[in-house]
Formats: sequence, C-alpha cells, structure tokens
Amino acid sequence: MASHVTELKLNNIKVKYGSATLLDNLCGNFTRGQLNLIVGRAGSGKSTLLRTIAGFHKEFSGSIMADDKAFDPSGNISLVFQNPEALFFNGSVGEEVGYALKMRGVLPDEIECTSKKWLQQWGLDPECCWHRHPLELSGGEKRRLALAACTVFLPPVVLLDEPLAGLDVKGQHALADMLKAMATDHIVIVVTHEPEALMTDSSSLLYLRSGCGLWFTPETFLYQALSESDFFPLPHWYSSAVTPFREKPALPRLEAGAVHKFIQEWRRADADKL
Amino acid sequence: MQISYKPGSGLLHRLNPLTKGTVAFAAIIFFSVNNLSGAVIATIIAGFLLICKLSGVALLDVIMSIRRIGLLLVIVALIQGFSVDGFNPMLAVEAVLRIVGVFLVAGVYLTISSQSELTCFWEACFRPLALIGFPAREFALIMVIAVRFFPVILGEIERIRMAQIARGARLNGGGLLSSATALMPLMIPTLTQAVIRAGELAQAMEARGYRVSAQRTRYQRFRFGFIDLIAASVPLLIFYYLLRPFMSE
Repeated sequence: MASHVTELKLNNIKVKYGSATLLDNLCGNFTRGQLNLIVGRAGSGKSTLLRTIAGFHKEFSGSIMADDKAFDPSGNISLVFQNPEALFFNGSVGEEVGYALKMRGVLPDEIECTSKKWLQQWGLDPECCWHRHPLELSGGEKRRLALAACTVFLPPVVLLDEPLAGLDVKGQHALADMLKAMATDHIVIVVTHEPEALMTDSSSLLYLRSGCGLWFTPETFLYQALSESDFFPLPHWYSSAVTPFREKPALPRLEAGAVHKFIQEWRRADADKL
Repeated sequence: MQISYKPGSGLLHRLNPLTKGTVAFAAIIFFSVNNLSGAVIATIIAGFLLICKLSGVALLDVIMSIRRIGLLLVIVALIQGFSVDGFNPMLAVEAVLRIVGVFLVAGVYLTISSQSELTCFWEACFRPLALIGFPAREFALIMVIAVRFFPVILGEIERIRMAQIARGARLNGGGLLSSATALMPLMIPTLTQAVIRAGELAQAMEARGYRVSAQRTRYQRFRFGFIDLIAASVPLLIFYYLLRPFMSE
C-alpha cells in the first residue's frame, strides 16, 4: 500500500459525450510533491477528467501512464467527491475509517493502530471520537474524517473534487494545509473553484477551457488572470491591489499578507528611486 | 438519450393537461388490449407519429429510447411468436408493435407535459378520493417531486458508488444475504442523503410559504378549448371500441 508513483502522465486524452468533445488531446503531467490543481468553468470537463483517471469513465482515447507504465487505477486511487461525508455508513468513527483497510484484508489489530494514527494525522483525536457516530461530529470534523476514511489505505493517487466546498475559512485553511502535507507522499489532484486557498509556490494548475488544457505555474496563472478578465475571476481585493504592479517581474501569492508585503516592498523601492 | 419535457407551441403541447393525460392513458390501454392485426396497429402508430411530427414534438429522443427496451422486445417476440403450430412471425410482430405503441405514447406524453401539467393531471385523478378525506393535492405533489428528484438521486448513487469502490467496497455479493450486505455502503448513504434532501426541500417549501392546509391559486391556469373537445373524442372512441363486444351482447 505504499505510495510509489511519482508521476502521472496524460497522453492525448480525448473524451467525447455524444457528438460533443469534452476533452481534446489533453497532455501533461501530474507529479508528487506538489498540489496539482484543476480549474475551469462548470462543464469544462474537470470532473470527467477525474473520473477518467479513476477508471470510472472508460470511453476515452489516449493513455494514462504512471512512471512510464500503463496506469491501473484499481486499488491505486482514492476518489473523493464534494461533500464526502455523504459516504458514511458505519456506526462509529473507528469502523468508518478502518473500512477501507478491512476490505483489503488487514488484521483487526493493525486496522485499529493504523486508523488511529491516520485520524491523528487528519487532526482528529481518536480517543475522543473513536466510538462516536460519524454524523455526530461537527462539519469540519466530518470532512476530515471522510478524507481520512478515503485515504487511510495510502493510495498513490488521491483525486479530490472540490474538497473545500461548504467549509468555513478556518476549516478551509486547515484542510488545505493537510492536503499540502499529503502531497509530499502522494500524487494529489484537486478539482477546485477556489485555487487561491490551495495555491502554493510549488503547485501546478491545469486550466480547462473548450476541451483544451492549459498548464500554469501559480505565477503565470495569476498574470494571465490579471491580464484577461474572462480567464478566471480573481478576488476583487487582489486585482485592485496588484493591478498597478502587474508589470513587475513577480506577483505575490493570493494571500492578504503576501500582497501587503509585496506592495510595501515596491513602494519602498520606488521611493528609493525617487 | 433521456425522455424529458421539451417545451413547444404545437397542437399537442397546447392541449389541456387533463385531455393530454386522459388521451395518453386511453391510448396506452388501447395498445395493451386491442386485438387488431399488425398492419392496422402499425398504421395507427404511423398516424400517431405523423400527428406528433406535424405538432412539432421532439420525437428523436423518444424513438431512440426504444433501444433501451430492445431486450424486452426480443423476449416478448420470442414468447408470443411461438404457438402450437411453431413460430408465427406475425404474432411476434403484433406483440412488439403493441409494446412499442405503449412506449411511444408514454414517451410523447412525458415530452409534451411540463411538471405543473403532470401535477394538475395527478391531482385531478386523485380529487374524487378527497371526498373520503384522501389528501389528493399533497399526494399529487409527492408523486411529482419523486419523479423530479429521480435523476438527482440516480446521480448521487453513481457518485457514492464510485467513491465506495475506490475505498475498496465490493458491491456485488454472491447470495441474497451477501448481496444485501455488500450493498450497505451504497444503500445507507443514498437513503441518508435522500432523507436529508427531503428535509431541506420541506424547509425550503415552508420558508416560501407552503402550507398543507392552505387554499392556493395556480401559477398557470389551464383552459379547456375547442381543440381539447376534439381530442377528448379520442378516448371516447377508444372506450367505445373496447366496450363494443360487451354492448352487442
């Protein structure tokens, strides 16, 4: 169950629904050690791409390679949809998180030990919640339990569809930090409408539009979004603050502190010049 | 291809919901129990499709959906076609045409009837039962909501299925008991979500002022016009045709 795959390569992925082409010759890499974000408007094919990688959408042409071998998704992926807490069906948190291990034939003692460790990793205290019903937890705890339950078997590839939806800002930040930590050992691919909450310097962004995929680094993505209003709606505060400096060689992250520091530095530099 | 309401302004679309429902149900009964020859049934189906076409009904989805019952048609043809004298293809064709007729009528009815029209028809069907205290309007609403949410629930089941399989769930057990146990990861979340959704919908309806006992007006008022009068003759003719053998006795 250890995570060995370091790179997932898409080769000319083409997906059609009837006569409409949803993804057209999509190429590129998702790698371990960074958050791989997929953004785009509704209906651009984000979720379809996830399903294709997960092996649930079989009508496609092209190939998906894992470290230069054909990727077999069976047992190697975790697929987490929006509101994953809807998957709960066991009577206790312990059973819920240990289910994936039980189905893989892991011994009961080992299940308990691994599950408790994994719960801790996701910020849940196993001593407090082990025997509680999953639906008794708070919204943020439920989300973390659901993600823990979906990833406890350490799949090499973790696919998440809008994992931050419905969480408050604090919960979003906490979850984003956990996903970033997870990305060090797994290939984490996240479909999101809120890339700002997940974007780090080491992220990669796949922007889907009209069947085509454009790959960006966070910086090139922000430049593109600032220069093309139709491309991606950046938060108004960010656009207003950064637009006067968009000719500068680097843009700050989508974070108030980073933007403040960036503006201060450039103002100081401009003042020094004068 | 999914059969669903397609707005239009043709003759059939403009019919009163009660007329549409009555004609559709009469036609379904007619196709189910008539003893006409295959050629006559085929002619009636062709005539029906021609009227639909002239009325601007989107027939493509309905016709393409016949593929879904392909297996059923084959089985029925085989069962009905065999008689003591061997296989009679005419009997097989007649049986298939009857089912196709029922399917086409039902498909066209759903294509030309909006949700409010369906509610109106169901309400009218249950209204006589209101005399004995049956909550006709509420029951009609329940049925329409159930139909409306069916695709949503199916989508939900598919999402849960994929996620549970990715977790390691094996959803197909061997025997009856093991099959039921294997389906738990799918059934419990689906039912939980359905109950949550029902609760949310109830709250949303109450928040918009829906009260069970309140007298309410209609957003759309359906009129009974001259064209409905002509269409109403169709079920009368059908019932006359079906009851004719009993009348002559």
